[in-house]
Amino acid sequence: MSVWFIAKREMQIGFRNPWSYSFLLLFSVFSISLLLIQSNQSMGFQGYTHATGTMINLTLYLLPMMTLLLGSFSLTAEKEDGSWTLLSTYALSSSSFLIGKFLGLSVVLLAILATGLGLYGVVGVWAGQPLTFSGVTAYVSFSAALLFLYLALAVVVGSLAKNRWQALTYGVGIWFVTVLAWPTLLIAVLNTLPYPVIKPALGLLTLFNPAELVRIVTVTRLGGGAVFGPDYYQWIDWINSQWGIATALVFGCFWMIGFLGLSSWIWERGRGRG
Amino acid sequence: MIDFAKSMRRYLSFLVVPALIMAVPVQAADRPVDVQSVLDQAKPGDIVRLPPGTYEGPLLIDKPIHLSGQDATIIRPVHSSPETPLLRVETDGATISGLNLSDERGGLAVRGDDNRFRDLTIQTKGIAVKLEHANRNVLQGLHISGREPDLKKRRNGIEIWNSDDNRIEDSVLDHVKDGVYLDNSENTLITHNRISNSRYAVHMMFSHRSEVTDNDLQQNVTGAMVMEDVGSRIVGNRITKQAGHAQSQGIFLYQVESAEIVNNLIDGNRIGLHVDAATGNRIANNRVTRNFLGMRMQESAQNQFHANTWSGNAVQAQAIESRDNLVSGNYWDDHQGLDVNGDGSSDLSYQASPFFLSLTDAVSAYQLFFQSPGLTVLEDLSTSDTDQWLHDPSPLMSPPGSETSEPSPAQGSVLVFSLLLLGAGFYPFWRSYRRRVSS
Repeated sequence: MSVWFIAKREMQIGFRNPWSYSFLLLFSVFSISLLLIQSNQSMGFQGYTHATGTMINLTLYLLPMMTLLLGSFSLTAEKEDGSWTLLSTYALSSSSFLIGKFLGLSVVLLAILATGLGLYGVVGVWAGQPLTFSGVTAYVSFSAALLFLYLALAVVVGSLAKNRWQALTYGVGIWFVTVLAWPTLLIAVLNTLPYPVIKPALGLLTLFNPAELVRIVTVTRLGGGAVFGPDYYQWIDWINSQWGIATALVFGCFWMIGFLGLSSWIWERGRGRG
Repeated sequence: MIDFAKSMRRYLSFLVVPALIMAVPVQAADRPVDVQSVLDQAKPGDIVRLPPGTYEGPLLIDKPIHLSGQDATIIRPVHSSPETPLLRVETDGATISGLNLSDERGGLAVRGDDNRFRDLTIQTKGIAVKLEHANRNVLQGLHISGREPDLKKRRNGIEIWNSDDNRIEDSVLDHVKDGVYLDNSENTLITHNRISNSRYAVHMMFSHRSEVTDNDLQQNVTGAMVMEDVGSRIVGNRITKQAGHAQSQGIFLYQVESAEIVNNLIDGNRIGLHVDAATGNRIANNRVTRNFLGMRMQESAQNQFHANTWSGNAVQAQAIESRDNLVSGNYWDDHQGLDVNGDGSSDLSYQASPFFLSLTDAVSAYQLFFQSPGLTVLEDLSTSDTDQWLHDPSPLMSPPGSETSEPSPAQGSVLVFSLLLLGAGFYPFWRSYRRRVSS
């Protein structure tokens, strides 16, 4: 019951939050610029081409950052404006509070995503882009998956950070490591390892990078699995099999449960001290 | 003769009908007939018909007759000399049709000009067809399948040595070493064949001005292997799925000059086009798609690459130690072009960096970073010496010959779905905004 209360409250705050409006505008502009880029390619979101790859990458630049900032700021705001001090006087467990926040934030972020992607679809059809239903749904699932995985991380960041500035630092740090510097860091680190260890280590580390994981699954589901080369035949076969999506969903659930659990532990410690 | 008769008893059919142009039937007795002696008795121009059944070889045809098998099978008796091919043709102007040659050691050997071979089925562990000093022969509708599972022990499907102006068409070759092997044989035409599951589908050595057109070359180690050759043409072929072997590639040009590689579909190979030490070739209007590496070029100069479509390749192209190649007006699907004057080609040039290939060459596991958003950053950091890069100053904005995209029938559902998304996404913001305004 308290989860629902917090979620509803979060939605009310979220849909009024100026941050949400700025990101709503930013994401809408972004979606329309994607269309402009694609109009050069006349390929649409069909199968895995370099055009699709570019679109995936541009989304990977923006969406995780947006999620990390909106998510973590919402939590630090509770600390900064004292509303958590008020809330903690009620019989409200940290975990229900965080789950409520997570659900509320998901709705707000999904609304931003839906607006942007809806705009993308409507303008795309109007402009005569060869969009396919499966293509658009693939892009929606890709974005939603990114959103949920990064939102769980954002809740951890929000629990750790004392204020908005700390949250910004951590958020940008996570974004930088998982999106921008990932290959550079990994190649630097993995090259120090013996050759046979490189592939398993890379595979294991990829499991902890939602950006790479979602990207690889999406590329594979779009039929581009072969680009990852013969080293990953088994991965690709698995992702393409009937169990692929189910595995991804189960993994996503574990990811969210794990990081929400971690956040409530962190939050609970803060509460004890407070 | 008695031994021969004994061994023939195993087989069902004993009827051989040699005939003149009027096809006067000469009825053999109800005992095995020595096909060779019938062939020996036939006069030039005769038609010798072999009714369905199994006959013993090896056979030699040394005069211009027409041996017409009606699905007759020639086999080799156990004790016959092992090295001679099952059917030898040593004459000019003979026609052989409708035979099945089934043998462990070797099928057909030809030494002579202007012969025609039609509708032959050859199954062997040896060389299926060998032409030597044989010109202007036509091989049409051959079905050749190798019986040797081990690629290293296989022999060639059709082997042509020191012979010019031969034609191979409408044939199917499968599970052999090289589908068609040309050595020092000029002006050979290889057209409308299907060659698969072999080492090299077409292997050309010093076979100038030969043509490989409209063939389907699939799942071989290499589709077309062209070596030390001048002026050959590879046109309109489907060269696909040469990807299962560590050395797999679609087309390999080694020390080739003045060749034309035009209008081919080169799809799903490990390397689409491999150009090595080749000069002055024209590579145009090909569709190079979904290969692991679209093109690899080294030590090559003065080649022309024009109006090709490079799309969906993991890495488009890489060139090292190459100069003076004219790359222009190709379509690169990974290129963000800008067409200022509306002439259909981009005013921003295209450059292909060999970075990713050198990275994955060192550690193949890094292939997982393919097109990773962070990789472009690393690639930019490592940019050096772009002189070596492949460079297209006027890349096309859309694939050559592609029609403008028609709206797909699913557009309606896309529109409805997008409107729903837009509505669902925007409504809560709008409602929240309204409330604030009204309160």
